[in-house]
Amino acid sequence: MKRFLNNRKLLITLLSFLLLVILIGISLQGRNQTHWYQSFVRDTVGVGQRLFATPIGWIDDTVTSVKEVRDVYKENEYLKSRLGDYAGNSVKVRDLERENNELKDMLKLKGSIRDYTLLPAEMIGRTSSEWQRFVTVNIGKEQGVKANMAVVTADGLVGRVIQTSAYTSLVQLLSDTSRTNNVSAVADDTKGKGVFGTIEGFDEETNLLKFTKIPNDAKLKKGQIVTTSGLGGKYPSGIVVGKIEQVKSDQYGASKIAYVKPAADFEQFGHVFVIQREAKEPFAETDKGGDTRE
Amino acid sequence: MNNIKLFFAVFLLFILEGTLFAGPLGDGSPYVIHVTLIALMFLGRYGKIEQALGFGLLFGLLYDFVYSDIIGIYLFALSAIPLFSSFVLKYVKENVLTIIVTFTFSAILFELDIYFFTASVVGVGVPFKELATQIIPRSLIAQLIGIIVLYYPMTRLVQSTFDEKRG
Repeated sequence: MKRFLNNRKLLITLLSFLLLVILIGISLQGRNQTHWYQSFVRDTVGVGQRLFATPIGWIDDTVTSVKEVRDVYKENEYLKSRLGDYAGNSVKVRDLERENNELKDMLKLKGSIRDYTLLPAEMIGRTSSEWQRFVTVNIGKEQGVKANMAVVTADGLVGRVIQTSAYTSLVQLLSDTSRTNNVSAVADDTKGKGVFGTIEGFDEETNLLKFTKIPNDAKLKKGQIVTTSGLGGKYPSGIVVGKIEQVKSDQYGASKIAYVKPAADFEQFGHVFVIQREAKEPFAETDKGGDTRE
Repeated sequence: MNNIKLFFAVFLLFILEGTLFAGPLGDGSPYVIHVTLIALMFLGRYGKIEQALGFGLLFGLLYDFVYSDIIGIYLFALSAIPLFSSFVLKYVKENVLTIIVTFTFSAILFELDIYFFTASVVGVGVPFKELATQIIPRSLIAQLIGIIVLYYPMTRLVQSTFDEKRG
């Protein structure tokens, strides 16, 4: 024992490992909470990240715009052809909205799980690993961001806020392969009936999201749009997740799995919106802690 | 003063790793070059090993705070891997080639370390087969390029800092 205690290097190594395990354990306990020292470090580093992220964003936007110029003509032709549909649809939407509001007034309903406000943000950092896909955005608690808020681009859902500091937030992308990453979603079957399930998991090889826990009798087909259902209590409903590419039975045959092509590009984006859901989260006692799942 | 110069150089690379390399240009793909780790390995080889360990702990903790939601994974990896590469280079006949090869394999060890730690603590959806056949080979090329590009500026910076110290 005396000889063991005299071996300083070995003792330091063992103590360091013990400290490391304790550290990981402590940080795992409060994964959804941000401590003051984390907030301080994130906000300080955030200043440096902004200095670089802003010019990089400009360059990226310029390069993307130049690339897009080539497709402008085709896009213009296509949009012109759809303009007729648009006028008809907008009148239809306006009528439905009015009717919906009148019915809500009659029932004295306030708000809906579809209502939300958008907080614009810019990406200032990204985790450089293949199995942890987190990004940092330049808005935080001061701008009203809270953990578990949905994050979208103009195309669709990209992820959710997992931690916030005063001026920055850490966002877990839908492509992150962690087990805690899941979203309650819905798609219309061939008869127009809502089919509910959960978006959980990302297939790295095909770059498709897995839409699981679909009942066996549900009739889904390729090309149908999957949106958030709003039933998880955290995300508003109606945010586009993607389109169904393929439907299979799960490995036990107990339910179906649909592979969904994400509407948003998880790699190429600089600007995002954090969504503040207006309807309150059911059974929520506190903003801090709790289950991190949607 | 010299330590401050080195700190800011590594800090700059730390910021660039999460913005320029992992951002729009890197797409968060395995082509991301771990420039912070590479700088720390050069510091361990051409500077003082204690300083590399100290910087490794500091930047590992920073990495965990800023880019991750678990504290300890990068803290361990960024302090242990530069120690490992310096230890290996003690027993290898040193030249440019052996340094580049040692650093490249140390960077791959870093990837494996992060993978296994993350998998055991929170679980990852990437199977080991995919890691070994797709991610590691691409990362190997990326890290090799990073080490070659940083070889001259980092050796110059670390050596000049320590020359100034010795007077």
